[in-house]
This record gives sequence, structure tokens and C-alpha cells, in this order.
Amino acid sequence: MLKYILRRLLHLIPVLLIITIILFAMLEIMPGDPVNAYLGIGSNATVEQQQQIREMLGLDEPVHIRYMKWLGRTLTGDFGTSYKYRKPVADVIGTYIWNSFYLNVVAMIFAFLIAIPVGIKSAVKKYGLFDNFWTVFSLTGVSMPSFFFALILIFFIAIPSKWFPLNGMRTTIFLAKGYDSFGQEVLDVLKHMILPVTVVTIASLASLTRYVRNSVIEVINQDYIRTARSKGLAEKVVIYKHAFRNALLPIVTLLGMYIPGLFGGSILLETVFIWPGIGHVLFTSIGDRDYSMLMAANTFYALLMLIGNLLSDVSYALVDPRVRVK
Amino acid sequence: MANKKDKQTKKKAIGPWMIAWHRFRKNRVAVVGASLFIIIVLSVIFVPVISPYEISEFNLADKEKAPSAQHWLGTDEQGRDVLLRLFMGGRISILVGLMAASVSVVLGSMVGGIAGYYGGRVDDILMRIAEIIYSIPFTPTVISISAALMWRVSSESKMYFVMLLIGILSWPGLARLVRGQILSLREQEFMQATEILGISDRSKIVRHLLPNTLAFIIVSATLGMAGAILTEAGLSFLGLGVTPPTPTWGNMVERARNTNVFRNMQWLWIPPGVMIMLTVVSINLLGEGLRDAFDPKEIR
Repeated sequence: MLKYILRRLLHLIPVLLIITIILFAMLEIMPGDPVNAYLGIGSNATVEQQQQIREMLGLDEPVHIRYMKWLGRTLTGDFGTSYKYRKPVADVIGTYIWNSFYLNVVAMIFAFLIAIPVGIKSAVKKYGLFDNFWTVFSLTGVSMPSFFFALILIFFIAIPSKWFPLNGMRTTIFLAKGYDSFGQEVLDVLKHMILPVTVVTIASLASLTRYVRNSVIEVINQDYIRTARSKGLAEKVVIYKHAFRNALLPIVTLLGMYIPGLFGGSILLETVFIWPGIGHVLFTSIGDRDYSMLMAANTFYALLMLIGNLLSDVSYALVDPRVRVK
Repeated sequence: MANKKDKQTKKKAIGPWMIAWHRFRKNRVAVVGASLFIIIVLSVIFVPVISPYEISEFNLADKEKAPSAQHWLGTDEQGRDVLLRLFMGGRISILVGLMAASVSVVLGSMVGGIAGYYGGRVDDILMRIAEIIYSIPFTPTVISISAALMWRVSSESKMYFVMLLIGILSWPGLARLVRGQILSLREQEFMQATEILGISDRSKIVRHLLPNTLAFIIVSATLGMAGAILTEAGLSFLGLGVTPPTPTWGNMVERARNTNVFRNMQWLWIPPGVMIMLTVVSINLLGEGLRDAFDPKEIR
């Protein structure tokens, strides 16, 4: 098993390298001068000064040299400095990752807590009223653009009711004068979380309920369930002890796959809710031509994706030994 | 007598396509989806034709009007008829989805077919490329790439560009599926027959192997189209997809990012959002219906 994981980790290296080369090349053809981005709007730097900055940022060298340098620095853990935030990129990402994480983790807990009982009940009474309701729900869920759902929720519920803050992560007054206590801060952030968490939860529920339902159905059709029934066990025992425990395996596999994704934010939703997560940072750094930031954020997303794929394969291998042999 | 016997054999000889069609027709939900999709396609084609307004028609005297008898969905800031723009936008959104899915299907089935048929080194290399593209984080990359290239491209060619981009990044899933199918088909007897007949590799793949995976390809194309329409909408919502003046449902919803439009002119952004949803729902229903119809294990 260890050998399998090691081999898969080795496979990741060339994949990650090629992805970073593609991304680096893309940024290269992006219009706009990063020197201007560095200086900010309205600067009156002379041509010589601009040239100095260009040299200071290392932008006067040819692209392949810059890529090699970027790679070398990145491997030592130095992701460069963000032009916009004037801070090391690693620090910026380190701050914003957690904002995305809080949002995703709360939504994921809700989604799993709802999807598991709903999925089981739908599977047990397949094509019943309950099942059909959730089928329609998940179909609408996967077909609705998340940003549109968010807008509808804000427009029809949040604005008329005035119950929740519409966007952001903290109330402006507190940003200026600071929080009185930690409890107050938590409460304030939680209040801002209600709307985005609702949207993320419903979006994940759409596919999750189907997934749980289908894995339970698959188990229910197995011979050992028929055996359990025919030996006269109560239906409750059959479902919750025999069927559900076996259906849990694919669900746990899925959970493992979700973990890396928790650190990456949805660019669309974080933009709608102006939630200061990593997706929002990535989107704004495009407009700001903040190259080191963009490169690091994209590489970060690629890494999350690769680790997610790896985790899902490894957990399949754990469950099904035949996968390892290949 | 001979005639009667003929009829009997005819009755028996129902091909797999007919079986799938019969099963699809019995699936009420799938038929509703297919009909809804056809209605949407017909209306995006014909509503602009019969509309009394012109797409480039400005009428500043009539701007920002709420829905009325003249303008069923009101007008925007430049006095353009929203209903007309909605269906013109639908043309672009559906076309982008269709073309993106086609690019992905052509690439995916070619790569999957070649990899599965030749095996060995070719297979290794092609599947490694597929793995790399599969591992590229879709949304961040698409957003960065479109941001990188968008400024060099005119509003109209952005449409083609978005199609290509979505198509090129989404073929690996289908390639894997087709490859797996071909690996097992390759070992079957009819392929030995093509060997004996001395048919070229190209026509073995294109005429004998790929048609046997057509069911998968069609289902994947339909569901891929739904995904591509959503992706285009998301990109255009961020201002990185197709940009005005060319209307798409995504960039019409984008207007809601303006607070005044969002709060006071809902007729500008709610209808396109609803259209995206209806279209994607109908395509998904159609796709799932097709999947069930082709699936020999599914008995309902």
C-alpha cells in the first residue's frame, strides 16, 4: 500500500510541472504591464524608474529563465511578493485560505448531515413521494447556476427580511474599531456566513443526496441483504446495520475527496458575496495583474485538485485491493 | 406464406437503436425534458425573427421601462427590448454549449479511440496527457486563461474562443470512457474479422469501434452541453466570457452586479437566469433519459 501511494506521489510531479508551465505561459501573454500594477494608479514614475522597478522585479529577463527562477524559489517555499498586498504571497494565501475553509467546512457538515438520512430514506422507498421530491430537488440544484441562486436568495429573502448581512465577512464598524470580545467576533462572522453557507450547502446537497441514495440502492440489491431479510430480521436492522454500514464505504471515500476542496473557495460565490476567501483573491488579482499572487493561487488550486484525485484513488485502493495490482 | 414469414422476421429484427427509442419514449420525464429543450431551441430561433424590434435598435426615450404591453420584459438602459435580447442571448448561450460539447466529443472520442486501439506507448502518452488536463483545476484556470487572452479578442470572436476553451479542457473524461470500452471491444470476434478483411486502422477505429461506443458518446455529449452552458454563464457573469454588446444569458445576469439594476430592475437579470436553469434542466433530463434508454441493465 505504501508503495502504491509513493508511486502515485511520484506521478504527481511531472503533472504539476506541466500545469505550472501552462499557467506561466498564459500569464506571459496576458496584456498589461505588471510594473504599472506595482506602481499603482496615478503614479508619475519616469521611464528610468520604471526600468529600475522592472529590473528589481526581475521582469527584464527572458520567460524561460524567469520560470526556472520562479520554480526554484517556489520549491524553497518562497512564492514571491504580492504587488497589491505588499506582503509575501504565502502570507496572503495563508490568511485567505482559512476564510474559505470556515465557509466550506460548515457547509460540508450540514450537507453530509442532511444528505445521509435523506439518501437512505430515498433509497429504501425508491420512486416514492419522498424520493421523487429529492430527485427534483437535486436536478434543479445541479442545473441552477450557483451565482443566480445566490442572487435570488439575496433579492427575495435577505433584502426584504433584513435578517442577515448581504455580503462581506465582518461588519464595517467592527473592522474599524475592532471587536470587544472573541465571542462577539465569532457571532459577527457567523451572521455573515448564513447566506453563503446556505447556497454552498444546497449546491453540494444536490449531488450528495443522489450519491448516497445510489450507493444505498446498490447495497440493498446485494444477496446478503436478501439473506438478512429472509432470516427474518426487522427491516430497521437490515437497513441500518447491514445495508448502511456497507454503503458507508463509498461515502467515506467521497468525504476524503472533499477534504482538499475545503481549502479552495468557489470563485463565483465568493465574488457574489464579497467573501474574502482564496477564490475572491484569485479573481481580484486578475484585475490587478498581481502575477505572483495569480501564479501561486492557481498552483495552489492545481495542488488541491491533484491531492483530491490522489486521495480518492488511494481510498479506492484501500477498499478494493484489486486496484493496487494494476 | 412467404410474405407472412417475411413480416415475422421483420418484427423480430428490432435494432438496439429502436429498443433505446422505445424505452426513451416510455420514460415520461425524459420526454418532458426533450420537449422543453425543443421548445427552447425553436423559440431562440424564431422569437428574434418575429420580434418587431431590431437587436441594434436604441431608443433612449424608452429606456429602463418596466415590462409592459409593448415590451413584455421591459427595456434596458439603452432602451433595447429585453425579450429580444433574451432570445438572441439564448442563441449564443446554446450555440456555445453545443460547440463546446462537440469539440470535447471529437477530441475525447478520437483520443480514447486511438489510445484504446493501439495500446502500449501510444496509450501511455495519450492517457498521461488526458490525466494532466483532467488535473487542471477547471474554473481558476479557465478564468485566468480567458483573462489572459480576452483583451486581444473582439467581442464576437470571444464566443468562439470560449467554446474552444471549454471544449479543450473537458474531453479527458470521455476519452477515458471510450478507451475503456474499446479495450474490451478490441478483443471481440468482429474485430478479428476486420483483421482478416485487411481493413485499415483508421476505418477500424472510426467505422467499427467508435460506433459501438456511440451510446456513451451521445450521453456524454448531452450532459457535457449542459455543463458547458453553465460554465459559459459563470464566465460571462464574471465578465470573462462573451462580453456585451453580444448578449448571452450569463452576461445578462451579470447586470445584477450593478446595485441599481439588482434592486430596481429585476426584469433585466431574473429572466436570463431562469432561462439558463430551464435549458440546463431540460438537457439534463434528456441526457439521463438517454442514459437509461441505452443502459441494458436498467429495467423499469
